[in-house]
Amino acid sequence: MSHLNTLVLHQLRYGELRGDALLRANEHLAACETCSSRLRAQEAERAAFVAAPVPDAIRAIGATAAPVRSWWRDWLPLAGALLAAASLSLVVREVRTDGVTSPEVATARPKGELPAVEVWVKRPEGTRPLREGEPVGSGDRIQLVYDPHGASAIALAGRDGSGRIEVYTTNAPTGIGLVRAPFALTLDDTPGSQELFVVGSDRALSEDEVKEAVAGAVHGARVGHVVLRKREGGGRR
Amino acid sequence: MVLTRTSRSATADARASRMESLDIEALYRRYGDLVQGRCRSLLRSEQDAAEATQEVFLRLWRYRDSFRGEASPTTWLFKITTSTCLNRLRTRRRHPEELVDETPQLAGPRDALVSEIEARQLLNLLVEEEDERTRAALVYHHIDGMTHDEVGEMLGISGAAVRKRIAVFREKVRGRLPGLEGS
Repeated sequence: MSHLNTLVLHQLRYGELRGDALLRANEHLAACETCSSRLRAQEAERAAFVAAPVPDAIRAIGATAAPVRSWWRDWLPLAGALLAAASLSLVVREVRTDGVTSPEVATARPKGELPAVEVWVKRPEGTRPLREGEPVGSGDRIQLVYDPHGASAIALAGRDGSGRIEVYTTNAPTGIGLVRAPFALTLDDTPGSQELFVVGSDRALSEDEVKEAVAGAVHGARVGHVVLRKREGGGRR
Repeated sequence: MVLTRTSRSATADARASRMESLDIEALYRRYGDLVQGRCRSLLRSEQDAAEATQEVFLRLWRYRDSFRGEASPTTWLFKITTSTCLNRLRTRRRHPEELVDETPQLAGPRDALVSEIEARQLLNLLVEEEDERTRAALVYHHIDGMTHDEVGEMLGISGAAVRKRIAVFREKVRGRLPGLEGS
């Protein structure tokens, strides 16, 4: 007997099965203790989940993350003039320390095919998206999340307050949609801003080429960029 | 707002309309158990599962316009959650210093235990060598019990292509792990 797959059991619970698919599933469940038991396990998990509070990290998402699709669709009709005017500000969206907070994730969402970059911060209380305007300090662990937008190769690099460029990897994961960087960065106490770069290209770049791409030479690279400014005094909040 | 739609039923439109009013907490309460359970099952680490769940809901929230148009929200979430977990597993493999010790507590003689753990590690390595689609196909087929055609539908490829990818992987496993033949 072929069992119901996991997704079909979820679809059944959520009322998404219709017609023949629903009939077949119910007939199978009536005859199959294995699948009935799997469904009961999903329902028990649901019952335990409903009783638990919504984590703060999930609530924070609603206050921080703007919808991506609406963003560019809303702007599309005005693309010609606005894109020209906005191109610079789209490439770099700074995380400021001036206390002005905006209800958006600290993110660079460049136009075109540039990799989009999000910054998450790992602190003892948990990992969550860094809000725009939220300061960072030495000891904070920074997790980059990026959308390669079709790039075949991704390199990750940083530039600290002294202007030193460090290539973290020339072979970061690519994929469809958001991808986590394969490591977290722990900020040190170097004064000044910390810049992070996601360099997308159609071929793997050498470290030197990545440094040149970060410095402005193109090499066929598309560079997503975010600037973190450290809080005065440097330390973790 | 202009929406590009391929096919949507009246049911999907009604669902989409209802979802207009949902906020992130409501979405989490409605679908969180599916996402969290899936993350726990694939990642086998509470902390990783919590972070992955958060990541999936961030993606849901950011792409909620397209999510609203889904005829089957559970299918969309199932795919995104699987992809998120597979990315995390790959990252974990590349950075073993951050690995959580999840060595299974197995009963049996020590030699057999070591051999089974080594076999699992090698199997994991073999899976890691595969591309994203093949790894997803292996999970959908071997863990979720989907047929080749159902996996193909999830991945946007034919059932025959899925069958071939899985067969090639099994051949590779047979060559490297003869003890697992037929499993």
